[in-house]
Amino acid sequence: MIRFDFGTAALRLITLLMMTFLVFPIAVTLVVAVNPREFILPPNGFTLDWFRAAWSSKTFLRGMGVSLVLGIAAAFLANVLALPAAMALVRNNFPGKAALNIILMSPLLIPTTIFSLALYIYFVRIGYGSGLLPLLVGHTIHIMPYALRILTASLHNLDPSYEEAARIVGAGRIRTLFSITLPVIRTGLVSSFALCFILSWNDFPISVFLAPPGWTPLPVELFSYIKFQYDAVAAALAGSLILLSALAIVIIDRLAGLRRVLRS
Amino acid sequence: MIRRVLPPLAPALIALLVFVAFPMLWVVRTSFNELEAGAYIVDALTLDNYTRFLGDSWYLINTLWFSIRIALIATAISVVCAYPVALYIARTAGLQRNILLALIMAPLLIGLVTLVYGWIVIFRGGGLLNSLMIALHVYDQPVRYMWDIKGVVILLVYIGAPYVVLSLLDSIERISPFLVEAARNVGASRWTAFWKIVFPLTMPGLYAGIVIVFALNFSAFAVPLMIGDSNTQMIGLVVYREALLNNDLPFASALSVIMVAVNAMILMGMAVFFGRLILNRLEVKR
Amino acid sequence: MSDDAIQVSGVVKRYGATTAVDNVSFNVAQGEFVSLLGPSGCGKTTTLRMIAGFVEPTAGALRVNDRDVTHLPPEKRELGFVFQNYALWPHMTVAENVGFGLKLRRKSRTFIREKIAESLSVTGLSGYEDRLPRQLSGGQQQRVALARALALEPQVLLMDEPLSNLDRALRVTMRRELKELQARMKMTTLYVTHDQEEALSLSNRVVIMNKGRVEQVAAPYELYENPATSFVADFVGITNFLEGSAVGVDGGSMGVRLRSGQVLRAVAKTAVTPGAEVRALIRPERVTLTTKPVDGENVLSGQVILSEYFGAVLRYSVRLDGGEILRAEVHNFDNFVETGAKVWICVLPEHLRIIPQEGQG
Repeated sequence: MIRFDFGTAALRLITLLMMTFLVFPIAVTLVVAVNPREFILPPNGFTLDWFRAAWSSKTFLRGMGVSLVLGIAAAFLANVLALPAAMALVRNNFPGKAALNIILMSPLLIPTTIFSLALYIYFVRIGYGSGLLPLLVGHTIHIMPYALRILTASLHNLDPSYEEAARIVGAGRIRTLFSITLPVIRTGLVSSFALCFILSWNDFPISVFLAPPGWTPLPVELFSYIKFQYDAVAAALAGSLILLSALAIVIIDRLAGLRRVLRS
Repeated sequence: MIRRVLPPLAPALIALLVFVAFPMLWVVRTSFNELEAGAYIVDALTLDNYTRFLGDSWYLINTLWFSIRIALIATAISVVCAYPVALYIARTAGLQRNILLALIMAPLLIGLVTLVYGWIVIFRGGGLLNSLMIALHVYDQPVRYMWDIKGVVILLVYIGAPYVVLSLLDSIERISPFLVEAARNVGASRWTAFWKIVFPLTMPGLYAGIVIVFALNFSAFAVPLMIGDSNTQMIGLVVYREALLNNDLPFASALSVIMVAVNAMILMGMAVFFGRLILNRLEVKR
Repeated sequence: MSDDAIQVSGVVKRYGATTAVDNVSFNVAQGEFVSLLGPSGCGKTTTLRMIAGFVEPTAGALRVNDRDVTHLPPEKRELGFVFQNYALWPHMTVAENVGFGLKLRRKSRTFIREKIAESLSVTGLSGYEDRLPRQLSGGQQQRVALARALALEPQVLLMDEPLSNLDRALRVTMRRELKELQARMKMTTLYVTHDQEEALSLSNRVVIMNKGRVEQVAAPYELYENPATSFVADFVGITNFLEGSAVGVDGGSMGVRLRSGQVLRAVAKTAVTPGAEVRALIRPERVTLTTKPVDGENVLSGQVILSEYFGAVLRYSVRLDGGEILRAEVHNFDNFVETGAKVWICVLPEHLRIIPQEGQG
């Protein structure tokens, strides 16, 4: 007798549909990006011409440069801010720790629109005007909670006796940090950096509010491009971004586990 | 203790104070200011910016109520789509599970613009969907699909559903399989076991997911900016337009304050609703 | 001035309202092996960690080789420490683990290499230089941890339950090696353990701790023969406690009047005022047990309620006529006494200790 489990079959079907829904636009972008006939589907061949065009566009290259520098700087700063905080939170129990944790995670709770607007107004009002600083600050603050989350998880798994063992053989605090702590949690550091970088690299809402003229990050550049032009070069650029994100996803998943990182 | 804990926390806390708390307070302060011709902000204590929005039924209907409605609809669809997926993923293991999780999380890590681009190709007038419709003789000419609120809702669901799946999954995985087996053991049907045991226990995850996604949807500006038309006056988009295009920072600030307040009220309402729902379920079980 | 390697004076550690270590004082002489023994949560590890500098004492003073180290950071104390979980740095090879402290001291490359080789050969790990910690067994990791501590030739070696993560057979082997090594190197060692067998067999002296306080500091023999408190008597070996009140007996010795009214004579070791509530301690293996009526001093009679046969030894639980239960352990010279038999138990006065009854202890 074949037992047909209706419940499971239905769930499987819905999941399949949902996954198709999630993957479809990504797949469409990738297909259009390598399709010789612009936007005419199904594809009739394979070409890297669109990629070549995208990767030789001065505007895009500059946007990439901006995003690269911005992403590296913001990811670095976010981790520098988050690491000591994560250490203090993991190593100590004190009253108000839970509240402090919520405060440190607060950038995730504030709608990006309002956070960006607030920073925009703030820098205008303190007379700074526009420049790279607001953009860098916006990105750094926005990604810091993610760094804090990954680093906290890594430090939870770090046995404090590793550091004590270093101290007792004569290493000071700083030496212990660089010779023992950081090397031991390096997978956490790498995945934290990768996640922070990719979030900054892909960010649109903050950049659109805070990017100064001449320093347009790639996503904003892509946005202005597709607003006025409709060609497969944009698809190739979007495709490049997808492939880069996929790489980051694999790295983070291998090193830290995606679930733990993106837990809402 | 404080002497040991404070120094390492200080940089992050100062950064949050200077670049989150102060700016947020500035927004509140700016919302009472006036804008003079030439877009100069004049320090004042006026409620004009608030009355301009709250006193205008056009804004109330087409922006505030419209945003709430769209956010609610998108959130509801996200939940309906996400729930079965979370149930299914919870049952999987190994490679299948990893693939499903990676696919669910991919949209969270791939940039918004990149994701929207794919949808633009699909929805655009004369785009993929349109061509298909023409081929199927549903329509006989290109239609401007993407410049439509339907596109906005689809995109909000696309972005929001993964969050709901993940937060539901957290709850589902905490349910002991023995609970369901025990219920089945005492004669509950599959459905009864689900409704009486699993469903009530997933309420916390569902609630967390709804809170996140509703806030995201309600304040969204990038999605309507990219694929909405001039009629999609979602409040986040109006904030963006007033701040960056019209340079009316006091009005944009007032809108932000209203946005946060309304969001908080709706979330509180949901908290009460969910609190009662969870309690009722527990009473039924007793 | 003193020639003690470690001096712990009046050390207190409080965490909020709880006191983990309560006014602990003891000394460790140069070259001595001292154990801190007690049940889990007695404050022994906290005491050791305060000496190492990992935990800041709330009050009290710590001196190592006549230097006040109370407020020095761990890296300035020049101590060796072996951790319960070994704490070998996972990203460094065995040689790098052992040589890290020497590198910090800016020793020459050749000196470091020789010192690593020497330490590893002492601990029997020559040839393992390039392994990573995760490629080693638990016992090997333990040896690396020891080599790492020895490489720096510390004046004092602190060990925190170093053998507790090993299986029993390996634990016994390592215990013997440790004892030989310590005897050879004459290194002052303070050793924390909850295993009385380990403490008694390894140590010159043992510090027994309970609830944050020191119960007794004594050589293993003294601990067993003359426990200062009923906690020590109970924790080290098995003991029978008979409650009663102290009475003075002629000849300068003490006695205890049991509930039955019978008086047992003991050799006085501690001063007890007559009339005070006391406990008489009787080790189970120090009694003689017969099925024939015996007359005389210090004879208790009762009935066997449980008899256990272990081959070499026989164990009995006897309900005395006064109602107390007394455990007795005798070597298998005599016939096995069945449950229910009437027996007479003799205790020599020198095998009977009288200690005051403490409050809840």
